[in-house]
Amino acid sequence: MSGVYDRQYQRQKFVEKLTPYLFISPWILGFFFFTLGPLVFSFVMSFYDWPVVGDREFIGTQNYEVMLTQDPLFWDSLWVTIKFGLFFVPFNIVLGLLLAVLLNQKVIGSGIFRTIFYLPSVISGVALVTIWAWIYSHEYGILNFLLGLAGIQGPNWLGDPNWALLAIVVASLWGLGGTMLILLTGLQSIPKELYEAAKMSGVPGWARLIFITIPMLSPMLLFTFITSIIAAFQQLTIALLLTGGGPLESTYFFAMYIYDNAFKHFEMGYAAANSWVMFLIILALSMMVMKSSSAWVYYEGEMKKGGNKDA
Amino acid sequence: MAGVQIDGLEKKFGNLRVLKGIDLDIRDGEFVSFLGPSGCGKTTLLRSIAGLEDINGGQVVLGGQPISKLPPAKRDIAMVFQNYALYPHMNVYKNLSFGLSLNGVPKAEIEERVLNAARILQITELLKRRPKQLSGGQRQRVAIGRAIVRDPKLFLLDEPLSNLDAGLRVTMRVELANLHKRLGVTMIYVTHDQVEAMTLSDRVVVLDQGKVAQFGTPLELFYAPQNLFVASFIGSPKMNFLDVAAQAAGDKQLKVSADDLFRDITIALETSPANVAGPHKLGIRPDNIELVTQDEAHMSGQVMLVERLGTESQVHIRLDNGEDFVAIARGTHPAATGDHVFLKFPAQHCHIFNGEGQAYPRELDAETRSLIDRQKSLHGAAQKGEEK
Repeated sequence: MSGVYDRQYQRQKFVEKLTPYLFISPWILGFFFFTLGPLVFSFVMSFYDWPVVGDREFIGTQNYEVMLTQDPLFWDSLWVTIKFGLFFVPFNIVLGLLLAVLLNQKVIGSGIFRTIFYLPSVISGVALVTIWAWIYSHEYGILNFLLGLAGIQGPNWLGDPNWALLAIVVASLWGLGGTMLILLTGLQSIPKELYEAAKMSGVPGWARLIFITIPMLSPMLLFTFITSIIAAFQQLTIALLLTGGGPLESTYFFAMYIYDNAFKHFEMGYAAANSWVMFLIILALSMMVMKSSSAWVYYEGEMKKGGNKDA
Repeated sequence: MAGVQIDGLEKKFGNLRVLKGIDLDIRDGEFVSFLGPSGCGKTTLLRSIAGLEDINGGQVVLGGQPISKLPPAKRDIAMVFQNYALYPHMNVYKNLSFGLSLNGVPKAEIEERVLNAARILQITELLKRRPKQLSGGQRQRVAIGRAIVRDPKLFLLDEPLSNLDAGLRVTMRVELANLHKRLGVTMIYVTHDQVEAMTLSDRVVVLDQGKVAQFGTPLELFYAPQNLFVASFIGSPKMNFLDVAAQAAGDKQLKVSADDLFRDITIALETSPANVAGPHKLGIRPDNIELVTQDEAHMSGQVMLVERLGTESQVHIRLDNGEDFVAIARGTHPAATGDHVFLKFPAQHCHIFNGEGQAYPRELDAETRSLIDRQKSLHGAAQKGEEK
């Protein structure tokens, strides 16, 4: 008797344990087939000569060797992306923070401004690029028209290798609404008594920003720092549609280089290897930032081991 | 150190008047509590003095200097916040020194002041810790320390003990009293806890809907409440009230009668009342009600509930006229639910209020009077000590 009872009990236990997995199974299937699968697949691909049509051939690490030693475009596009990131990441965070601080003031209509600043993040990338193409246009652009009113002969923003990258930086900063929103939420979660206590003891406004706001906001700043780096490396749409990588490949981003290898030259294996290098670079950068974070990020919840002893 | 004078202070939030003309004269070195129920404006009044709220009228004078137009930092006031408002990312030392270092105080002096405050509050060994690593009581000390290091003319404390557990609250209450004695600085303390207000304060401001209901020593509030609000707010369990009619009876006396009262009560007053027409209220505290036999009683009722606390029994009684009264009897009083009891209201313990809720100042017995006078004079003596 007890054997039967035990088996029933075991069965019941098993069903109980299985149930939660059944509930999340749609997500798990999606993860395996559409995220992990392609990930592993692309890793395998990166060791093959893998044309879209024709025979595939295992070539070991040759893709990686060629990329690093014989393909100047790899280094050029990487350099363009790094230059872009050096402008984009700090501006994205600093401007996002300044806007968030401004919108956090109790001003009439701050809700309207919040919406306005976030709007570009909602607009489709293509529409955004169309707007910027119109702004930057050499002959008919509104920017050069306005500069002309001030008596300045504006450059050919998208046609001049000296200006094109900067033009793309500005256009991509238009989407800093997301960063702003994250930082604004962070600002609103800082207890206002901290500022009142500081005000009572005569701490000036700039010091409140530097010594209270920024440390209290540091977890959000860390998050936006890392997501900005990732966004910088993934920059494709704006450059692809606005300049197509030109002029003189001054806006030929790393992501565009991968895109061209895959869908113009149909070198799927090579493109996969490119992607893995990009992944490793982003991973390394993110880890460096995370590593440094114990020195400058303050977590309300727990004390990080090692760093963070005294601010 | 300095006294605080507040004249006709007005504060509105939108169209809502939260402070309706507050006048107060707080003496140098005094410990004053703002006491009242939630929404009475006590915290707003404190924040107006601090300069964290803009006021809509009147003025605040600190140590002879009008401060209403000054920014908070220039007022020479320190404030301790209800939730401590410690900077979580700084250690205790930094929390104490932060304001000073940004105001150009020399490093050596900062260290001296911080160590001094830490010594007074016994938190020297905590200076390297973060607020997260401190207990509630320790955080409270740090918050007070941040006020001490500034050596201000006036301390403002906004319900500083309300986040502590009951036992710690009593300990911190005693420490606060000692701290006040030691520093001798004027302190204003906001609380909704009448025990804190009564035990800590030289004088208490009772606030009711943005107005000062009474400003007096703790015993004055208890034995000589000026109006119905103070009478019912101070004391626990609350004072019992009965609708009555009154008539003047001889010199400085008032005779109280009602259909429900078995016999009239004659209350001795300090002055003869001018006009005694209209409805009145008789007030009597639960501990002054005596459970007696029928021939002495003023009213009778049925016992609904007896709460036995050991030293006393709180007897909840439904009077024959339907009113609910609470009487306090001795711990071993035999009254039980369902019993019919007879109540006596001794005249010397009765309070009487006119139709507007204003009390007739009653004549206090010699003992109570001398106690109140002593509370006033004790404070006066402390005053003189400070001035030396």
